[in-house]
Amino acid sequence: MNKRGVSEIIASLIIITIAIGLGSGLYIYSLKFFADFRSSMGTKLSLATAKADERFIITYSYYNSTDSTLHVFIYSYGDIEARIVAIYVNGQHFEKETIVNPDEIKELTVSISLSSGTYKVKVVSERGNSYEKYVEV
Amino acid sequence: MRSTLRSRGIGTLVAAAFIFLILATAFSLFIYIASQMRSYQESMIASSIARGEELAEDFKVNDVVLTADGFNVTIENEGSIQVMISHVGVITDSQVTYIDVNDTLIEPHETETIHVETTMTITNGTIIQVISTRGNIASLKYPPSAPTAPSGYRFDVLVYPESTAYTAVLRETFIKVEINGRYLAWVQDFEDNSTNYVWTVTGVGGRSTAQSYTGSYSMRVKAIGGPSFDPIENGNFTSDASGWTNVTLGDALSGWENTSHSGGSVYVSVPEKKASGNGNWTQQFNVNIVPSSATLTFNYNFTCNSVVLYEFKVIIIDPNNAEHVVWSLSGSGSNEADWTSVSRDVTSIFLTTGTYEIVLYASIITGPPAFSQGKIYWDDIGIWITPLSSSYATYEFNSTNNPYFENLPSNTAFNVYFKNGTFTSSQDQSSLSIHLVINDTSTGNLTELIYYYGGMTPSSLESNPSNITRIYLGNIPSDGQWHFFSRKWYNDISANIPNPDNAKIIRVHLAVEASNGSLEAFFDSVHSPGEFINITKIKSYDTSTYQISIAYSNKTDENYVYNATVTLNETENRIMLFHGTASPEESAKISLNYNETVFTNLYVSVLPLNSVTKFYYLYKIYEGGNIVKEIYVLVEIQS
Repeated sequence: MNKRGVSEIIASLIIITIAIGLGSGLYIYSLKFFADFRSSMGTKLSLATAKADERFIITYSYYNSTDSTLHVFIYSYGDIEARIVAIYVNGQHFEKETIVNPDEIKELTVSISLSSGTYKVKVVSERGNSYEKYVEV
Repeated sequence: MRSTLRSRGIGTLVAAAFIFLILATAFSLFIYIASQMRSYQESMIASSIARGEELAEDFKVNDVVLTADGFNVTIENEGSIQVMISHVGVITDSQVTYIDVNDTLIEPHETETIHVETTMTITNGTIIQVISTRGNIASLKYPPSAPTAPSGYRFDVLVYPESTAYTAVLRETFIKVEINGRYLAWVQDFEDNSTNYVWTVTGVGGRSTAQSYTGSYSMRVKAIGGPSFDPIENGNFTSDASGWTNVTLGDALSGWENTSHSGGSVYVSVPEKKASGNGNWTQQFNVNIVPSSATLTFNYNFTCNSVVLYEFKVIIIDPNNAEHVVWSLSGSGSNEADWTSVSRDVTSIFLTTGTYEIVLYASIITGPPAFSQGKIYWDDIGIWITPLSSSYATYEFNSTNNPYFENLPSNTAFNVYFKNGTFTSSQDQSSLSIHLVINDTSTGNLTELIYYYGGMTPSSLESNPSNITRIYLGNIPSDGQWHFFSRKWYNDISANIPNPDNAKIIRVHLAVEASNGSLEAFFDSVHSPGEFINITKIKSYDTSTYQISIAYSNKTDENYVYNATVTLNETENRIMLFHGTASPEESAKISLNYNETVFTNLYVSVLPLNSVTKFYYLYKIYEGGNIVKEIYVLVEIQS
């Protein structure tokens, strides 16, 4: 009779332990899952918002044949700074990392040899925005 | 057994607690995500609005005027929203500079001039770029060029749709402004803004400035709208609803009813309980001008009892099918309102010409009570359009309208009438001259017979009216006649034109040095001696009375009876001739019949005829008030 009582206690302890263990595990897992999800979601929304707030144009671009440089003027008119990372000239990639603050016009230059013709100049930002302009050389 | 059950119960509680914790965590995550999503959505909406405004923004560079320390750039906001100019760029072949202009604000339909200080040299071909805070760009290549004149206008023009800022007049010029059918409000010239020329022109008309301007001036022309008009047909519904279409849905009824409110009115009603419906009264109308202002006016009368919901709107649909709710009213309950007048400024809707549509919308939902009903009357619908005029400024003229004379005898006086003259001169006023050139058709030589210039003082007999001492451009009115009357050639041309019969063409050339221009001119026709008829020879001039026979021209039409005014022409050496015996008399009327010979007496009162052997005698033949024939009679005096 007494043994039966002990085993019941043990059994109860085991059940409680299992319940706590599983519960803790599940809870910890869910905390991590939620935290990851929240972080991921927050980052994505933040990036999307920033992408929408970033606006810029190429105001003017010209090619200086004397020193073989392409000059590109970028105007940032968004709510946040434009983070320019690259310029493409007819698809040819040039890394140009610069920040253009709101209401600022900044000049970028690209060393490139161009012959006469029409070229597509594309400025891309870190946030995935871009602006294209054709330049007559 | 009880212990096992108890421990199971504890385990359940523990598990439940964990489940609760997990759910609570998930809920907090949900709240967080919802908050983030709301923030993101707001950001997206703001971004979308910004993109929309970016597209709605519309402005252009009208003019660039150089100044001592830079230039003035004139920008016109042609859009429906405010424009803020962020930068002005100056782009030359060798340099690109952007100048921050501190977000200059330009209201819709306004023009703003921004002064830009720069040390850059602006030459022909320099691009002036204007950048707005929404990232839009407008450019102008210096110098600005005048737009092409509209069809039917004879001048090169500068077009001012509504108003201009100051526009450089780079040449010395007289200004003529023309306006196409509306009212010209004012022309303001020039440097000091002190002089306003206020003109009202109905129909096509124009005015010229009264003086010339030398140097680089600016000019402002503003045209305001002409009389307002209402393109809405039958807006008063006086006797019917013609011109309007109506559509009803649900339980709504609509129609025309004699309300004794300026005749009748149209209505939309839901006349029974627990019913709902809506109805539209619509009309399309054309607006063929962009107005300077537009005002919607209408009256409504709404009565209802226990209405659950009513909603009324007046909507204007523009040519791009965009709907503009310009007035709305909604509510519930009962209403016994009388006629209410509404007026709304709808100028911002009429930004383009085309077909518009006005919609009078009514929606009524009645309640359960037996007497529940609703009804709205519409009346006196009008959209008052005040036209926006275009005005035209010109300072060009051509020389194609110079008058010419055929078969002018060498020493015949003539009349030239000028009107509507405009000139361009690179010199001052005194440089104007009038040249009369005769073409000797036998030799092809052009001989200048006479010229007058501005600083010259013609004799009192050489100009008319007022014995003007200068040929002053300002004396040429736009609506009258400036009369130049030559009594004789300034130069003796006898050596140049030995045979006057060969002097077939005389041209009057109005000239200003280094200039060109146009002038409407008309003139008396004159005839060569070869056309003269019946040379009358006077054998002696020592008696006082002569009888001269003059044959009436056989070229006249026999179907007409003419009256001839005999005008005695003053010729060289101040011969004065008088008709009849009742001296002095300078003219007389004689009835002439077809192919009739007229005999008249000449009484010569003053005969200092020491060297005169010939003079001319002019007949002007009228039909009504119009000269149809002039006859010169050569009188030759024989000793």
